[in-house]
This record gives sequence, structure tokens and C-alpha cells, in this order.
Amino acid sequence: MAKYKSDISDLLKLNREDHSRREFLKMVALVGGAMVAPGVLEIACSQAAQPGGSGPSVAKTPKKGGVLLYGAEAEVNPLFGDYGGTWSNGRVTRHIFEPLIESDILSGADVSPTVGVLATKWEESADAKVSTYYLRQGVKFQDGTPLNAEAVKWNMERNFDKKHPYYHEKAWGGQRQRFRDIDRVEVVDEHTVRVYQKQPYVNFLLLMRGYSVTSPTAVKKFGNDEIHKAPIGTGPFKLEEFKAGDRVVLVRNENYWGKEPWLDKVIFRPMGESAVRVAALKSGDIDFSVNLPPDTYAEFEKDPRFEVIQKTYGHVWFIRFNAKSPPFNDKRVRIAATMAVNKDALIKDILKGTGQKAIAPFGPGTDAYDPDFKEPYPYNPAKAKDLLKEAGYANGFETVINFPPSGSGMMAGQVMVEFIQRNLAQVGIKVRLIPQEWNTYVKGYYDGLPPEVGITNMSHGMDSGTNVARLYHTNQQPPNGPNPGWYSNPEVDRILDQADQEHDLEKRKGLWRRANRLIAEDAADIYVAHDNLPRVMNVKVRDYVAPAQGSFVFIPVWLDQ
Amino acid sequence: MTAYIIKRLLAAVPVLLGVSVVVFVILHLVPGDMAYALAGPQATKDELDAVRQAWGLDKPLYIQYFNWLFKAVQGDLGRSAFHSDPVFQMLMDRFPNTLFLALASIIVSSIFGIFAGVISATKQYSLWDRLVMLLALFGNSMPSFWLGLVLIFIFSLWLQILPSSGMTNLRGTGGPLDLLSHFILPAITLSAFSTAIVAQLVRATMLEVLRQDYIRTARAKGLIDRVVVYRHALRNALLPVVTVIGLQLGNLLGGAIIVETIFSWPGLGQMMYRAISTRDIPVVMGGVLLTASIFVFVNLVIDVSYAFLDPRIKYSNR
Repeated sequence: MAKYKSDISDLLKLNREDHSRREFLKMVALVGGAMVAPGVLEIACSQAAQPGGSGPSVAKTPKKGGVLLYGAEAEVNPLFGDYGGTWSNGRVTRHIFEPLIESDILSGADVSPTVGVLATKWEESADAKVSTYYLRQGVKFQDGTPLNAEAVKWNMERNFDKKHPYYHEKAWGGQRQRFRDIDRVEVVDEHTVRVYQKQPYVNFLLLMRGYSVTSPTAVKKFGNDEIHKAPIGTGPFKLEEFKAGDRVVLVRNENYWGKEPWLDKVIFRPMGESAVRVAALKSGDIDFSVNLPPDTYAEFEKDPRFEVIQKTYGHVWFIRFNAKSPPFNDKRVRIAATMAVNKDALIKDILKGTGQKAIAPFGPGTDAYDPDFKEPYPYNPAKAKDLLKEAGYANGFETVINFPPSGSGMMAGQVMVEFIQRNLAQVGIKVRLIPQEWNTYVKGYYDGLPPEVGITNMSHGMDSGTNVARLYHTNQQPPNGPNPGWYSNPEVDRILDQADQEHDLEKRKGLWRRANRLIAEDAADIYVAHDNLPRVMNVKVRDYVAPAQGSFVFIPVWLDQ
Repeated sequence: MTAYIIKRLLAAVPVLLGVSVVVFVILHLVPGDMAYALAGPQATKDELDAVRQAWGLDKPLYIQYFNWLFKAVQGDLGRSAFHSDPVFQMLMDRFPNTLFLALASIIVSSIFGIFAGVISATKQYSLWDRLVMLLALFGNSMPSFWLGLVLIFIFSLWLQILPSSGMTNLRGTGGPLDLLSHFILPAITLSAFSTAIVAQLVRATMLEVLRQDYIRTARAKGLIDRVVVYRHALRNALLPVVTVIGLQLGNLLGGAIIVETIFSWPGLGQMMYRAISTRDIPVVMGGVLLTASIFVFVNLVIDVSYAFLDPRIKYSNR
């Protein structure tokens, strides 16, 4: 007690021995003030530039000007025109480069229609061996090089002809499916290009959607190794600045052939951490972002400073069965597991309504979607138990799931898997979770599920029916392709092979829909949810269009400020 | 001394070589290669093979390593699979950002840590001592990602006086004030752990030194407390502290991965995290080489600084 009292007295004494304490406190105050002051000054000076926060403005007329700041969930990869990479990258590159034809990125329709961008017309021969593209006239690349048939031919050959002086080997993997059967490209006239296949390739026109062109002059000037730093396309925005990990700055192309965009600039800042994107939106550091934690959207919806837009696209999150090994080689067991999962509750409680229930591998927004197809195996745990009993698993069984806790397109990942684990436990299926880092997991995915792994988890975001075969044909089982669950149905194979030969596009889509349906009825996977890709934006962002795609652009956007 | 430094630098070469071999082997032992990361989980075998061929991943491992080594000794660290940029350029672009943050954190943690440790030691068992040690415990225990997010919440969201991410204001024109305001929160987050360590270590070493006979003698001779503590005691107490600070600097220069990710600070740590996640082998190899070199250099500087701090220490050529 006496010691403590003397300590207090020591603290209160203002004598020479207390210099060190006073100096310490002074130093803390000085250093702390010096550290915070610049920030206060900087923020105060930039307050005038902060977006308004009092609610939507009345102004409706678009006006030119302004800089839109986008918080991206991943770093931007090389800005190649011919190798888009991820959707995240596509959100940047589509501003700079334009395709001949595309799934309309400026359409808000439930399925993006195919439209011409650099091509005004396109046609295919009856035998699907020749396709012709009529190019828009008067278009120039951003460096002044004319867009013509020679330039398009040069670009295509760069992607498939190994003898091309600028053969882009690194893009070949991404172009493999598109150019697998190509024979040659011909210049018919200055604005007409003709492409010849070695054999009929009915899907070629569909696969040409999104194929973009780069200025040959720029590639010759910078070479394959450096062209990504000087990406020259025909698009409404040009690259002004690229600082890796910090920002990508696009500036309006004043010589754009089409309607000039309203925005002066669009700036992309990579912000890998979703909580940071939330903070940046709220503090006004950015104007637009995606892939935020599901439980934050309700808050943004209530906040008058923000608008939340959701739209389903060709994405599905699913649990994949090992259809080769017991117990899931028995269709009854797969159906039972499907019926054990309460998808509505998962979407409501885990995803907070930011997804739509999935019932098949290709859902709304895709070529293979059948709106008349009803859920084949709705939630019914009692029926699930009956099926398990019928299959000889009255007491349930144990199994293993390999899964990535997070990854591209994996939504709430681990939380969703844990929810499903609990659902399955209620019908007697005890699941042991084995989380794996993304790349380790992908390697195992390609190797195919071993017998001891009953289920796994994946998502895909493919909107084209051309990919039904890629994921479910027997010939895509490992090591050939991404069918790691060893799914095989001769009837599905037959339909997909027939689709590959069907020249009539509508009949082909009909075949894809049939295959989609059969795969769902086979319970090849548990289709859980389609991501609505919620987007949060400041209310000053006007005329944003949400396409039925994972990619989107800010071309028609203007800022009401 | 010069001979000692040269000897140490030459000894670094086999160290760096060994590090490069170990890291290369580990990168290839870990499941999943660059081709899967580049092609994505829905690629066919054809597409994967095309990617492997484009990047030379179809060659035997020892050929891949020696190709890398042959170019590395000529200063060419290859190109990033994901950014297509030369690795050397990427490292030089990011390293100054990490150096800035690391140096600032070391300065902050050294100043605050040393002063806090001295106060704590000279006021042992007092309220100040207990408060400082409690804060040190807090600094030691708090995960940096938690501290970072809390600081963002308080200063960026609630008080709105500091920015939440990045190095510069995207709406502004940049400048030193802008940079300073952006680095405050990451620097505090990064320095919390180091400050705690330094404070605890300085307290411990000071307590030992303050009990020495020569300190009693100095006081008996009438020297004021400030002179006794800072000129006579602290200098002797600093030797182990210099080692710790140096090692912390080495750690930080290697990349403050968590802090750079939380604050979207475009530094080495963030780059290395992404490179490891995506198996971007050229970047990982280049980054590891740089980090190992930094460690070697920092250790050398620490060893040499001992001779200046303590004149009794001399280095021989043996």
C-alpha cells in the first residue's frame, strides 16, 4: 500500500525526475499530432471532391464529364485484346477493345442477344465450314490504324498460325476452342473477311462472340511482350495509366467511331479485401464495387446514398458427386442428397437473397436454359431418407468433401458448404470437410475424384450452351477435361454429339436444353444457386446497365453530380 | 572490417543459391501448377497443354530451374505469368512502396518502443510500467488484419479523417500530404507488433543494465537521471534491441503481406501473396531472391553496427 501510494505521489510530482514522463507525453502528443494533421488537412482539402450524400439528384439529362472510381476485387491482368482472361479483367478490356460480334454487353435483357459491334453483318454457309463478316466502315484503332479486313485477318492468324511473325503463343490456350478447326482466313474486300474451317464447325459463330482485335501497328511496334502496356483497340476508352496493384486509368477516346461516352475517365483500383471495398464505398473513396459480403447489401439498400442492382447471369454454384464410386454411383443416393438440401433457406440465410435457386447446370442467362423446366428434386428430407433406405443406406453413411473455402465465383464458399453439411447430416449423411487452397484444389479437380471422396464443390459462369459438352460429356472425364465427377450418360453424350452437328441454331439450343434437363434429372450435381452478382454504386452513377453476363461496362454511364 | 564485410558478402552467394533451389522445389512439390491457375478449372487437357507449352512448363524440372538460374545471373528474372511484365521491373516498382512502409514502421516502433521501454524500466512496477506492458501485450496479441480493419472503421468510416486504402487519392492530384495521409493507418498497423516487442525487450535489458555497478557509480557522482539513463544505460541496453529491430526490418521488407492486402498498398507483400496463390513461379522466385538478399544485407548491417555501438567488439578475418 505504501509503495503504491508513493508511486501515485511520484506520478503527481512535477520535479526533475518526471522530465522523462513529461517528455514522453510531449513526444507522443507531437508525433501523434504530426501524423494525423496531414491526413486531416488532406481530407479537408478534398472534401469538395467527395460525392454528395443527401440522396438521388433530380437531374435526368446526361452530361459529359466526371471520373468514375471502381473498386475491383482482383488485380487487372495483362490488357490483351485477344485473351480476355477473367470476367474481372473483361470489365476493363471491353472498354478498350471491341469484338466483331458479342453477347450484347449493353443489353439488360435476361439473355444477352448476339449483336454486331465491329461487324454489321455476318453469315455462315449451310455446311458450317465458312463464315463471313462484313466490317463497319470508317472505324479506326486508337492509334489511327484503319480497321479493315487485313487487320482482322492479321489478328486471327496471330492467334492460330504458328508461322505468324507475332504468333501469340500465350493466348493460344484461351483461343484453342475457338480456332481448333480453322483452315485459313481470306480478305474478300477491304471490309469483308471470310473464315474457312477444315471441317464443319457449327458452334464457330457462337464462339466468335467476344473475339476482339488489336491494332497491328501497335503489336508490331511494341511486340508481344510489351503490347499489354500499350493496348490499342477501337473502343470508347483508351488506356492512360497503368500502375500495377494501384490503378488502371482509362480516358475517353475523343475519336471514337460511335457515340462518345459521357465519362471523362474510369479508374479501376484493385481492392482484394471485401471489407475494404465496403469501407471505401461508404467513405466515398470509390463509386462502384461488386462481390461484397452478403450481409452488407441490406445496409446499402437502406442507405439513400447507394443503389444496389442484382442480375442473374450464366453462373451456377454446385456440389458435384463422384458418380463412379459408391455410394453416389447410385442415382437414388444422389437424388436423396439433392432433396436433403434446403436451397431456399441457404439463399435466404447465407446469401441474404443475393442468389437465385438453381435446378440445373445451365440456368437463366444461358443458351441451354429452359424456363419451363421445373425443379426435379425439391427439398424433402423425409423423401430423402426413404430413398436412402431403399438404396440400402437406412443408417446413412460417411463421406468426404474436398472444397476450396474461397475462389473465383465461389460465393460464400465455406459457409455454404457447412450449411449443406448440416442439411446432409439431418438425413444421415455425415460429411467430413477437407478445405484446400484454390490451386491445390483445382489440380485435384482435374485429376478426378478418387474413390474416397464422395463430393466436391465448384462453380462455373459459362453462358454458352457449347459448354454443356465440356462439363458433362463422357469424353471430358479426366484427364481430358473438367468432368471430375466421372459423370456419364450415353443418352446425354448422344444428344451433345448431335448438337455438335446441328446447323440450325434454334434446334441446337433445343438439344442443349434437353441435355441440361437430363443432367439435372440424373442428379449429376446438386445445383444450389445462381449468383446475382450484386453491384453497389453511389446514386450519382446513372444509366448503368446490368447485362446477363459476368462482365459489364461503364460505357453508357454518366455521373449526376 | 572491410575484409570481414567482403567475406560475409561472398558467403551470401551459396545461401541465395540454396534458397532458390529450396523454393523452386517446394513450388513444384505443392499440388497445382501455373497452367491450372492460368487456364482455370474448366479448361480441357488440350488447353492446359497449350498453356504449359507456352510457358515451358512441359520441360523437366531441372531444365526449368537452370533456365531460370542462367537468366537470373544475367539480371533477367523472367516474366510474370499473370502480368506479362518483367519480374525485375515488377519488384523494382513495388519494392520502394514496401520500403517506405517498412522504414516508417521501424522508425515509429523504434521511437515509441524504446521510449516506452525506458519509461517502463525507470518506473518499474508503477502505473506507467503496468500501462505500457499492458499495451505491449495488446500489441503482441492483436492480429494485424483485425487491427487494420478496426482502424479503418474508426478513422475512415466513423471519423472520416483518413483514407481506407491505396497509396494515393484517386480523385486528387497526389503529393506528399496525400501519400502521408494514406500511409498512416498501414504504418500504425504494421508497427504495433514491433513496438510491443521493442518495448518489452528494452524494459528487460534496461532493468538489467540499471542494476550494474557503473550506473550506481554514475548516480553517486551526481549525474542527473536523464544523462545516466540515456547516455550510459540505454546505449549498453540497445545491443540486443538493435538485433531485433534489424530482424523486424528484414521481415517487413520481405513484405507485410497482411497489411498490404488489407490496405490495398501496392507493395512486395501483396504481390508475393498473389504470386504464391496463383503459382506465378517467376514472380515467387524473383521475390524470394530479393527477400533473401535483404535479409543477408540487413544481418550484415546489424553485425557491423555492433562494432560502433560497443567499441569492445572487433571483427577478425578468421
